[in-house]
Amino acid sequence: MVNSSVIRRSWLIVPGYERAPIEYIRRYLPDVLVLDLEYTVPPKRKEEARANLGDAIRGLAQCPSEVFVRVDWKTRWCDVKAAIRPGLKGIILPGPELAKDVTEIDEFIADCEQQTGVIPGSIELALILESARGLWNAWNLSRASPRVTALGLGRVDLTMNLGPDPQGDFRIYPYLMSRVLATARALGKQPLGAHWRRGSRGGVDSPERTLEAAQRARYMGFTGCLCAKPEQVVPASQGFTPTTDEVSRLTRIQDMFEQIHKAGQVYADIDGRLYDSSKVQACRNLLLFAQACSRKDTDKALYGKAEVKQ
Amino acid sequence: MSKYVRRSLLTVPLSSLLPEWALKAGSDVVVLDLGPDTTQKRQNSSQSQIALAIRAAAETGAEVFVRIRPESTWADLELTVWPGLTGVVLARVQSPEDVAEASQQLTKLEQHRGIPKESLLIDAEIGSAMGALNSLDIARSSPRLCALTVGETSLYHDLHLDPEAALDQDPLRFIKGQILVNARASGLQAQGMSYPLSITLAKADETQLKQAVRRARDTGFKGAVCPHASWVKICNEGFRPSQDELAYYVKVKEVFEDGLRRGLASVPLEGRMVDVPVYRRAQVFLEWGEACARRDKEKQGRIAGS
Amino acid sequence: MIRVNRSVMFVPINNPRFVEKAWTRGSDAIILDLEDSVPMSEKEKARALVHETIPKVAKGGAVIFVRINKEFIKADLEAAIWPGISRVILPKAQTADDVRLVDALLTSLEKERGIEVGAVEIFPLVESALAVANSYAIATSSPRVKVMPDGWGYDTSLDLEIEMFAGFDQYVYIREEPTLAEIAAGVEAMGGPYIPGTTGKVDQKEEGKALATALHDAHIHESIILHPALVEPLVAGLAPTTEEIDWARKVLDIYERLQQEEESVAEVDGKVIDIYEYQHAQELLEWAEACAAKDRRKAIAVAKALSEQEPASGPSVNSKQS
Repeated sequence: MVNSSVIRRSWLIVPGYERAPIEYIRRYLPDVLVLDLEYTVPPKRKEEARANLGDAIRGLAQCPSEVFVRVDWKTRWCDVKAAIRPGLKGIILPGPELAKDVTEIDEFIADCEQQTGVIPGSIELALILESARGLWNAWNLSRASPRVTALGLGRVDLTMNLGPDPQGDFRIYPYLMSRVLATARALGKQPLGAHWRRGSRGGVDSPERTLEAAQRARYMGFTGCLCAKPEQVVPASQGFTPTTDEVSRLTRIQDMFEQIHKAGQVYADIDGRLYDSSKVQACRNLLLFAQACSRKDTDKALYGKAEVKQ
Repeated sequence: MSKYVRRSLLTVPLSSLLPEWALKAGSDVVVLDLGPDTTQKRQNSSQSQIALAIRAAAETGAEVFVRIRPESTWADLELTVWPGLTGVVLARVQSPEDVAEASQQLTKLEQHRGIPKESLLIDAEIGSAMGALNSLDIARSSPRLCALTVGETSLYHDLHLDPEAALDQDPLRFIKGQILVNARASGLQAQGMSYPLSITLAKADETQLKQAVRRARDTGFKGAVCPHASWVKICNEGFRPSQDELAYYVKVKEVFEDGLRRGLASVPLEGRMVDVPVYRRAQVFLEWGEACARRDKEKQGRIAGS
Repeated sequence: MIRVNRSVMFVPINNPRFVEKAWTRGSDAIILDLEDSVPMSEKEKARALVHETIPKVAKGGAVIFVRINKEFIKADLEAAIWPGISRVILPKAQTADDVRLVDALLTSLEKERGIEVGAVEIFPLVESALAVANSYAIATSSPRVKVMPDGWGYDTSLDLEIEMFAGFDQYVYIREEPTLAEIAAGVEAMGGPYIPGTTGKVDQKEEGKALATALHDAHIHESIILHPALVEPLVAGLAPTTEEIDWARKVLDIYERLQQEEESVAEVDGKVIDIYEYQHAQELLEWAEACAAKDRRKAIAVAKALSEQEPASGPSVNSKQS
């Protein structure tokens, strides 16, 4: 089950060849830093990026962001091998379609863990679905390995050539979000994705629109998304965090329910709206989540201060 | 056409004494609810008191269901299955096995308590992502099943949604669509309400509620769970075609049948084409209107007689 | 060869006036209907008309399809499958077996009648909740299924017992789940998006434009229509514009140069060009060429038909070329 105190709202992608990815942490404080071997790395720099991962990951020890590596599906074997080392939290695997794709990688990761002295089973997998087949098989894919902790909707506007509909959404995009959400929640995985709309090509957008996309996704049940550009990190983290107004409202509901709900009743009436225990539990969940976000943000702020002091 | 006229399913806390508002509400269905606390010792109501409560509810003219909680399925069924009951609502069904287990126990209870064999119905409430993903298999899992109900508050809990957010669009529209389609694909009815009233559960004003019910009907739901008595009348009226609509459907029938006599299978009416499916649909709505009228008459008779 | 069926127009086969004019409408494809537009009392007559009607309606260069009856599959196919029919519309397909039955009958008829075996496509209509639930199985039931609609439609509204055009999107799941299933199955999903303001009234020019724009934006290339007024906006609107073609050629050029330098992304005129843009550009140019080829074929067919016509008689022709 996904630990609700694991907060991963913004996953910042930086090219794997970056010499000092720690700078991105200092400046933008993403919840997760993703060293990329895929889209952001042109063919002529792939070797360099792989070779750089060792130093990059070592340089990120002690920082509050978790470290993932996004591999390129076509070269996933040597990408995974280059990535697995102490300090790595997990692998982002874009584009799996069949359960056996995931099982094979799971086993390969186990071999790499053994060879590099990483705790066996500790490397997580985040699956990013980017094709119709992958989306159709989401259930089997997510169950194919216990390492899978996140299930995401990828930049399907690009990979599936989804054009915009008259209401400004990419064709069937909200439906795909719902499908990923249901599968992720049924299996206890983190649902990853933002509600990108017409104008956001491949999930790249302005800070204002990123905030909106993250917020809309939060209201659909998602808890984090990939950020292609550093400027998207703060709005993404913000968008996936309940606002102070929301927290006060939810707290009030919880408090009042205790007072109003009498044994033998099914609903309590709060300001003309009815609340059963499930609805109140939903509010409580979100309060716990908001508290966890708060703790995470405090940790990150302290790190920022500690860094400055040095 | 759909089998059951169950436009309003009024939630009533189960206790030995049913409140006045429940007895007078005029709902098609009463769903007796044990509340959330499964550990509570039920000294308040003994089995015989509950049996009486069921009979009292049935005497109002409503069909009576009891809502069974997944954490205490066996105990809840033992406590509440008595003559007079039409069926049970199984809360938060996750898999066909949940239905099968309940069905087996119903068979035993029917036997021991003088209820006709295999007569008790099951309404499966889908209140989780797992349940939604399994809803086709669930819908096919037992001949006792009559409906799938959208367990909206439960879904909000399961999916980490905010019941207080006011959104442009229903975040559950696809999952509700899935539940509905899978119910219909299996010959069952579906019960649910449109957003946002489906989650705010407000004792809304009449206009708002009318619109919401109309929207639920236009999506394919045949009825809705009423958390409050104020919803009942509007659900009863809103889940059946209005007089104006019925008049229009009569026209559709006439125009098409006239066309047939002239050798045509497609005829215009007010700018639209009336062909076979449109004609058949009008017939279905007319029959549904008649079934609702019969049900209303039946309930009136009961109230008058009581 | 890429099929070009921007407009697929229903023609009630038992209506001689509509049949006579059908070839003049400029539609890419025509469906000879044996199902809902033909009353039960007329069905036998309609069946007998198919063979002679094919050349009549094909005069303008349209490809010819036939919609059969679910209850009379064998009789309808035997009457209808002749050279010149390239697709069977199968209504009320509920299961993969429904499609396989038609597949087998088509194979024997193709063999009997000198049609290339496997050439006739099957277009299963998704018209009920059960069909929606089975859409993946239906999409993968036969290699003859190459393109498929979603579940939106009049028969589905009957199955669900709901109205249509209620002013909001009542059919979200019914459209989008089959669409995903079809794409996952490798079949072209031609079901279009929800268009706010659609009334279902048949002869609306504005609705035709809105439909063409919506389908164009969504990269959908086929649309089934009931009224000839929709032919022109769809045939024009579903083909790429000159601007799109010019940009696609530019993209090809830029990306191929990137590849030479082992780069993968560039930005030109504020637009990103990468592998995805390149693939889309290739597809667009193929589609543009296929549309142009179809328009040429239609123009040749129309010119031939007009020259064979008696002067000062016969219907006037809508021969728009893009």
